[in-house]
Amino acid sequence: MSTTPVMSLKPRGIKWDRVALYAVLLLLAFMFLMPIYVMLINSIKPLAEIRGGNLVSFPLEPTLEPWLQAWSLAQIGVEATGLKPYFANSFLMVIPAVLISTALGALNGYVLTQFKVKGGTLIFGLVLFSVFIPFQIVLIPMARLLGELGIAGSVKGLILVHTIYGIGFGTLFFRNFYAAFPQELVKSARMDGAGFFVLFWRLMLPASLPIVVVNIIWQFTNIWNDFLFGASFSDYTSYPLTVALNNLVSSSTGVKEYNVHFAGAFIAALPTLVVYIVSGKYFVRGLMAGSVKG
Amino acid sequence: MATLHINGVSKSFGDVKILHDISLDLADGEFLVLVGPSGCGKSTLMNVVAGLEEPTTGQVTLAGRDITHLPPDERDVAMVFQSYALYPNMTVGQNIAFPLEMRKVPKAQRTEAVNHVAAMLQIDHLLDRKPKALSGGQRQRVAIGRALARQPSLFLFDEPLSNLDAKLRVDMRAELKKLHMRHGVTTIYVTHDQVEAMTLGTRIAVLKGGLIQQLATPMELYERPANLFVAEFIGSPSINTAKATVSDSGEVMLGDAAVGVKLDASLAHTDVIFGIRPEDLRVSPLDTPGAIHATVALLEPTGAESYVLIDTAYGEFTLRMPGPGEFVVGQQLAVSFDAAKVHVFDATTELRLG
Repeated sequence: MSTTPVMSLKPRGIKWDRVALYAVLLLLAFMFLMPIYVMLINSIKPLAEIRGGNLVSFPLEPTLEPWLQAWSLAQIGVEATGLKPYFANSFLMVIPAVLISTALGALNGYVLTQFKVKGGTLIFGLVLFSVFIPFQIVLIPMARLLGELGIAGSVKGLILVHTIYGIGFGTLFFRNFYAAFPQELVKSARMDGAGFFVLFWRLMLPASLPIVVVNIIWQFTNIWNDFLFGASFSDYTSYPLTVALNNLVSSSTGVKEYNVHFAGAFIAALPTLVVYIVSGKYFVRGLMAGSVKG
Repeated sequence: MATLHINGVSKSFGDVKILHDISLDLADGEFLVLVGPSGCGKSTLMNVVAGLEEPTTGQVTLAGRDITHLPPDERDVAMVFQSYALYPNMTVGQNIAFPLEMRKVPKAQRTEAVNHVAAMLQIDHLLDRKPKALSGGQRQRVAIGRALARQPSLFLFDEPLSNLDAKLRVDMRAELKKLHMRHGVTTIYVTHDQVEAMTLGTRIAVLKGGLIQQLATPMELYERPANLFVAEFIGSPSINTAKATVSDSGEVMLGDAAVGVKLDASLAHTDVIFGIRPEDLRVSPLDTPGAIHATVALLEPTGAESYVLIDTAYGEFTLRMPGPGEFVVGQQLAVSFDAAKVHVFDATTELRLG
């Protein structure tokens, strides 16, 4: 190695702390990626190869048949429809729930920060508290409520459940964001004659894109991945994808078709993966965004 | 006639009293400057007039209407904020049109008003830009445009030039003055900068601790400050002060020398404060009778003039001289002054005497 005579303040030679850092990072990356690798690799192998034993080896005859099976042909419960209809169910459930809970969270945050509400702090405290309630406690009362409303076992019922749960976090995110909103903008709008809804709709909401993105990502992930509410409050017409996946795995008779199961699991994970890849950086940005310069 | 009457307005936040019984009257077209140090209550008073705060006691009347408890948008008052408060998601044109939109003005009229105001403030080429694409001075003009478009009875400016750099501040100050001369809208202008106060106001209200210290024209504040605070606040560099006494006959004495100001004999033996502005001190020959002897401590040339800090027997004084000044640090000199330019204040009450 040729060295040019240059003044250097850094010690020469191998930097051991760097090596250690990279080693740890590589190890962690490996640990996280390994299961995904195993899943992917085995989802494109024919069953014979899987039975052959080596989970980690590359497929000799890769095939997309398991994916096709998982999507539209596999046995789920009593129907051989694959995951497709339940994929649709999940979307039908997630999208309205995310939109409604975001809207309500935003409205709550707006009211709690821009208006002097009697007991406002207490209300916020209670809403915050709801975030920490374990889902299991709510199962029986919620089942009763859905029954009385006549929407038990339907996608509508799931939408209601997830919306209610989403309001807690939504209020938290938006309230903190709006608390840091520049007050002079609000004063100016008030002086210009903006009323309750105009102030919200035309000024604060358009300026809160970062936190809307945060909320959407958060709610989407939580609602899409939820299993408990899905399993408790849906029937065979309204299973979300998570429940259907579980049924897929447990309704195979005789031979366990691991390749199909892996493909199914991947299909279930894909949307949240896509959401994070597309908007992940906005998540951090949105959480960091305190206010808007106007 | 957009006359404004503020009667006995007090404002407390819980136990803290910010404004103490403020009363002032503005004639139509007057430009009143509220000036004072941070925390003196000037912004609070503005907010009460604007309708963003309710006064604890007192009334505000504008053009004959009692607006004390009206919501801000019903008061016919427009405000320009220190941070401009431009709506970030709207274009410049939409920003200016917003108050008109809230009043349900038809679109054609709105566009006309926006174009008219934009042409006047020379921002018509910016109408489609968003605020974040504008410079500070441009944003300032959009904020003023938005207030102008409403054609209100009263303008409120809350330290609008504080966020601008020094040169732009001077330029915008002149523009604001020209704007007022052209439109003659009654204005209240809040600032902590006394140069802005002096150049812009037809009258100035100096506030401290929620009380009006003096309400007068700029020249009157400068030449006859009502108390020590006003004397020290107005004028840059600050007035020079020194402890002084009053002789048996009422002569104000700085040390052993009489300064040439005679007060009423009843004030004999009171402790007073002697004040003379830096621009009223003249360098004179060392043997001039009644001159104060001093040593040069520091020179601050600013181009057109210099500020010379001198050590005297009575404390450190500042002297203002045209040109670069030919002094060196440590030089001995003598300064004298015209008795008519001397300000005398009671040492305890700080009120003006004589």
